[in-house]
Amino acid sequence: MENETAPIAEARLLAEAVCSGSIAPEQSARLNALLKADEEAALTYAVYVRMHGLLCWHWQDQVAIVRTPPSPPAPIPAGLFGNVWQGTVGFFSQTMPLSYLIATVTLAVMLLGAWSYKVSHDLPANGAIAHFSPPGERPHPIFVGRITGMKDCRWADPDTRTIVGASVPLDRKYALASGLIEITHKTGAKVILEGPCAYTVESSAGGFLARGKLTARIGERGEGRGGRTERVSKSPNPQSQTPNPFVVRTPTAIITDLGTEFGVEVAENGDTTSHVFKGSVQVKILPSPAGSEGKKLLPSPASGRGAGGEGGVVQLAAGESVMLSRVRAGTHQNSTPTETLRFTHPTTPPEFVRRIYEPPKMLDLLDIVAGGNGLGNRREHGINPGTGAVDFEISRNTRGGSRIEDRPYASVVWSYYIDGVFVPSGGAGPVRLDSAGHTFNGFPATSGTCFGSIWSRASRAPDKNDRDANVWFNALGRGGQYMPNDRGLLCMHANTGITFDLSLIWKTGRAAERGRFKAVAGVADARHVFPEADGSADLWIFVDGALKWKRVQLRPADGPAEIDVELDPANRFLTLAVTDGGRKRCWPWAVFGDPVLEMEKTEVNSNK
Amino acid sequence: MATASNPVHKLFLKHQKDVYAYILTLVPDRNDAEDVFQQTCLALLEKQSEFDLGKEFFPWACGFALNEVRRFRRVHYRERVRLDDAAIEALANVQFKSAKKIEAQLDLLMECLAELPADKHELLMQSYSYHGRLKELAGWLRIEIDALYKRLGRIRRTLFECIERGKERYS
Repeated sequence: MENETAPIAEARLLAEAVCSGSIAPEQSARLNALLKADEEAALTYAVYVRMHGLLCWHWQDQVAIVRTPPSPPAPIPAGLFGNVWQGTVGFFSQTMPLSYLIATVTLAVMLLGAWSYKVSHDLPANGAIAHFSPPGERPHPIFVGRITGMKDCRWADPDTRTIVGASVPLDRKYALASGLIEITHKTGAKVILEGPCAYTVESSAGGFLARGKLTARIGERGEGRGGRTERVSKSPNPQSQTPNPFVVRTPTAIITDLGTEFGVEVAENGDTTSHVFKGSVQVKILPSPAGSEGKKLLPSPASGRGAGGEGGVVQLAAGESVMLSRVRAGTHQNSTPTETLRFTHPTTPPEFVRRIYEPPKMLDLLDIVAGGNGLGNRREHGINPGTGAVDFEISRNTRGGSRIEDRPYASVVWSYYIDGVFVPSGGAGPVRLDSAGHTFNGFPATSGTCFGSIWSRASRAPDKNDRDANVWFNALGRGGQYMPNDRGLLCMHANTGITFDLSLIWKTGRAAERGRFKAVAGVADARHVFPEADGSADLWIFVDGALKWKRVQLRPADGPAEIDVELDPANRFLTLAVTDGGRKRCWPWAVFGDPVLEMEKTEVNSNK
Repeated sequence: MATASNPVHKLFLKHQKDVYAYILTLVPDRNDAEDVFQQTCLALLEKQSEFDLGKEFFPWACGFALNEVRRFRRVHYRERVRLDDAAIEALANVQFKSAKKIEAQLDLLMECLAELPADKHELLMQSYSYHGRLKELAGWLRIEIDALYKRLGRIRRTLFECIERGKERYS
């Protein structure tokens, strides 16, 4: 900026580095100095980062800041409530239980209120979408859905490019040369566009298909149709003022959903072919400016309902197709000079893609270990392998005291995605691997010692001045050979095990039909900090108690070992374990780099 | 809903985004800031009866947020962007002293956002609403991650300059 002083300019640059997450340690030090030395610079930094915070808030509606509004309290049995009440007669003086209960309920209401307030920015209960800006100003974009799938997209118009996860604003056009896009409307309707095509989103329940193919799928119970007062595009075309049903407009027709799934194809000349997979649709000739009086519609020989297209409308049932084509001289035997459009039956039913292959969904196990749901990027938290408790800090202490194999399998109650942790040792007989009771009897006897947490480490190594720089998994440095995708490291000292619970992962929205556990494993080489630490460890991977992968006496010199274990929805538990084979002082520092679950949909396809 | 009739709750709803943004200046990591925000919500709830309706809510809430930031930093000393205690205090002080000025600037954000060209607006929206890593987003957009960082940086700078111009207009 023109009159920016050097400290202010530097503050702005450092603020940008903070916002982009790319700030380097030396910049961090400089930022500290600047904030303390120059008030104007501090003010610039504060405004810049608060602006960033407001943008985060503004667009984070899909990842609510208030992450998990507490569930409404479960119905309390009369007796129980009575006991609480009777036990807290003196509540208003000092007693805690009821106040805690009230606080919890109030908090739930408050947070739910906050959450609903946030949601209401975008979508009020009636389905209408609110403006942010005051009247008279340029309206904030109105989002009616999200891109939920793409495959092999090439763009006819590069300006219409998009990505999976992007919001879909009203009036947004998509022009594909080839490939597939799936749009999921906020109403639940799914539209698959098949290139080459050009489609404009006109409302939360419909759009204009200028050319190409689309398939629309509306929920069995009508999910996907617009609300009664839905917002529609500012498009001047009166046909875009769609009512409740899901409606696709083409240059020649209006196809209205009366059922659950249908396809529409618009040829280059505007001819429209409609096909119903499930339920029924109504196909109506689009009134021309000249009126429809001149149109004469041919009877439909195959369809009983709607035959003849009385009034320029036909109704199609499942399995039926109809083409609405412009009549040109010599095209049809029955054509007359006054005809412009007519219904015919296509000689061969059109082919539509009804499901889209989605790119593999990735669940990040480091995020899960750090307390997330696998979709985020949480790091630098761990789990106590003896108790299953969260470790917020890196622990340097030996977990044990007594022989660790005496410890029972410990459930991890704070995560839906982690079943439990354990301390494997063959010396104590079969080792329990999961809460279902699967055991494994093939672990060798161990030294009986483990150190620290099962830790989710960020990809970036800490600064050498960091107090944790010499913890073994930080001492290995960046460890880039174990994380080609730069995600981070799951760090496990020998004689620890962790079991992930896949059941919720299969269920929660992934709709995956198969998956893979992938990681790059190895033994940390931290000899530049611990010269004698030429470690070795045994690494084990189980699925539902069955051994799927192992490496015995793996050493740093062996380099990274790729892991690729196939999973299917019948699998519930994925277990990782590390042992030391009874070798004392063997520096058994195992890392699983970039550990992810790749979830794939196998569901596709077309009506071919 | 109970929140509709409780004036403190109303004020909270009005200022929650500002409280979150304030926390983000002191705890730059978004995940950490969310954790602190959660704790601040709990603290505000606990002390809501102490709020004097005749006073301004946001500075009062910022006091709680600052306490929660301090508490968070005692436990989570491994923040990647580490602001030291003195820097935190300096930032908190300057935001307290210039509260009105900052508020006036940030009030212009939506207006400035609306002035962005559509492609820039969409890129910003995609980036902020994307759940995954920016590296993946860059892959989808078929641009280098550094290019994405630069584009986003330029857009944020444009927005910042816009609200700065507004500040001059309003001052």
